[in-house]
Amino acid sequence: MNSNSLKNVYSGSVVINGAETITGFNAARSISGMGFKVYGLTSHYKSVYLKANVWDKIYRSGYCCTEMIAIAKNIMQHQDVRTQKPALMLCQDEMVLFVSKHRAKLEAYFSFILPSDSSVQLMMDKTKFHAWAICKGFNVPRSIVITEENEIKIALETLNYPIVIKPLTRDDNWNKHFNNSKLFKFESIPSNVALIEEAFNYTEKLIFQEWIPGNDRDVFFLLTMSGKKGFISMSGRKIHQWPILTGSTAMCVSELEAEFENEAEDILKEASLVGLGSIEFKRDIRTNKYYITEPTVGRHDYQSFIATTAGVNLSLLYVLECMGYCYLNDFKPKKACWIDELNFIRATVKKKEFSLLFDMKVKFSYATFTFKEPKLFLVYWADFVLKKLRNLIRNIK
Amino acid sequence: MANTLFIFKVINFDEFITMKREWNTLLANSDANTLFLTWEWLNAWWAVWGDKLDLELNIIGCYNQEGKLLGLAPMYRAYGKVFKCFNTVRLGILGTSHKFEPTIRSEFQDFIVEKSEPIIIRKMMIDEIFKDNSWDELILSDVKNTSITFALFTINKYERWPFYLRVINKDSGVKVNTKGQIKEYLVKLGKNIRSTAFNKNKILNAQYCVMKECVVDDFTTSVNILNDFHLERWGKLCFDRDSEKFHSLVFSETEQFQSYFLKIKANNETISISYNIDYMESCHNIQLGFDSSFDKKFALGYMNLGELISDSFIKPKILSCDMLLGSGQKTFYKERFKGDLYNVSTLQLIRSPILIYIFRLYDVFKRAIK
Repeated sequence: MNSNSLKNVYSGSVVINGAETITGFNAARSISGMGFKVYGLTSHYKSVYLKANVWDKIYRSGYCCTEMIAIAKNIMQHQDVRTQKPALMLCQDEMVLFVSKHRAKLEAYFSFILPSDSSVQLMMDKTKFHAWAICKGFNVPRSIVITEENEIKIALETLNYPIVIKPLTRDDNWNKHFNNSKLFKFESIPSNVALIEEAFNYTEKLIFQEWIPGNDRDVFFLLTMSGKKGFISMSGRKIHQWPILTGSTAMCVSELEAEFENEAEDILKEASLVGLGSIEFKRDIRTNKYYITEPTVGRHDYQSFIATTAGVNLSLLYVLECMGYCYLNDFKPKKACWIDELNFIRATVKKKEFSLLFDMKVKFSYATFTFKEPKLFLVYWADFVLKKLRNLIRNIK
Repeated sequence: MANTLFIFKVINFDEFITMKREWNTLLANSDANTLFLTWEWLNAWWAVWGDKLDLELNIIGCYNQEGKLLGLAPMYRAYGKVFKCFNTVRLGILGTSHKFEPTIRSEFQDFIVEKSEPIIIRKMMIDEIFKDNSWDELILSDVKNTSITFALFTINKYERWPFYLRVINKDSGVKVNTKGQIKEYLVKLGKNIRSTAFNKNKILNAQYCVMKECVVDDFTTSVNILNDFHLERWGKLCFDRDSEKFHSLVFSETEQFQSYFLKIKANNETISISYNIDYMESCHNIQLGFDSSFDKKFALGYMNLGELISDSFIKPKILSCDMLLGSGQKTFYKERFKGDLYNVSTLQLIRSPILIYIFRLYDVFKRAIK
């Protein structure tokens, strides 16, 4: 599937939430230029991604049904066919929970595919998912969920080290305070638990999880879209994460014959996933066993654009499914690589693995850089440099 | 199913003329079963425009080892010019002549393929079409976006044969489900459309001597009325001499489908008329016209469609009323009837390198201007 060959083929409107994020921007890129009107939803005012040409219009909206319905009505009013609902594509966990909760109201104005609310809750709640996975016989790392500060000590003493501690659900507050860190890693029982206590200010529940030995390259994922034609998936593996070992994807590649693919699809089928979703595994380097580390439901993943690069445009398939277009389930992923430029530089500098890019004969794509819109990439870097300078000046003062 | 189990053959005119039953049986067993692909419709179209437009029949049939017809690509070949200077050989589906002298609009064009193997046979049919090097562009008009053919030329593009794809037209239509009780349907409608299309009859009745008439003969008179209404509203006829000839052939067909005019008369004068064809389980509204100088309180077009939908609910064999493609002068009024919306696209597949270059340039230029 070559996006260039689908210029202006389709019609209809698509609303993408999280327009200010890399995930939102990459989801929009995947369907841009194909004839859809692409609208962004954002609650932020400042982000370079809001300036991208992929958006026909940006709407400011928080998690509010009335606002979202007003936006849908406005979009439909400007269409030739006013009864055609815009497709709603989600990119943030909080929005998935919100839409799932208010689906009865929103369904009349948007066309979207989400699993049942119980499935959404199951996949989003790490405690429920962990218990469910064990019950179904899937491998998950040993974990303890705590809700109060006085449980910290018991949890720290129960598990085998190293361990990681992460919030049950990560929201904007957490991201802001902890600078987008997904988790904290401890090699042994920490003497000072102040950081863990502080984390309780930004989440109601913390999950303590035994660390699966392995490096960034032992993290695998399956991105999928499940619709009338069954599961359409694309597997990949991470090469770099930032921060190393615990962070978000900095570089990943497609994995054409992944061992875990069947197991991953079984898990998602068992959890009744429909629409967009993904599942992340970590391979234990001692036993070669794959452990589920993170499921994603109802939305795009950070590195989802690699599927588009590999020729399996899951974003487009999701929109086509929402709008009732015909497609066949016969996609064969090609070799591809996706890079988050900034985190890639940070990770490679730290790891000193500079030769890697030249060894790979694959199709590359980048989180921010596109040949169609190089200006955005320059603005992004200018913005980044300015921020750093501002911080530096502040520190000097 | 292996490729060798299928035999592909070009069907000539003599064979086409005699394959009515075989054609319609396949159509009934296919996922493209529409009025516009029936043998009768396409035969009438060919009889009127085949020679006139200097077209060559290019129907490809797919048979199994036992000689059973499993697929049809009902095409013709035409010789024309692109941008009035580049010679081109075009393939098109019978029933519409996009970009040539306008004929009629036959909607939902597609390959006719038996439901049991819709993908494999279609793919092999595409192979057969592309193996023939003598054509430059293929035009598929008003293909439903839910069709496998649409997928095979777009998102699931068959990589084996390179071509440049252009979507040269997009349109929408509405099909009202007329199963069940009309009361339940009317409840779903907005207050305005319910009043305009279904309830104004009583007021009209009170003011005029109103009569509803379903005409299954007297084709010429009805067509003349439609033409008069169109000329007044749109400044052109809806049936020129050729399309009148075509529709008279279709109208005379009574085996496969039933054609009729639905007239609303006030004081014995026709004020609104629709031309409809019942095929299989659906009623198709082919044309609609009304007296635009009549009392403005009444939306005569809506009223006629309201009558048509009401009648469809009454007819036991009819389960839907298809208003087909197209919109009104200002709005897409059909959506107000709260039917199932469907979308179609007209695909142009270009494979001549020169034409690809020209059209790419043309498209870039067009986008730049936009």
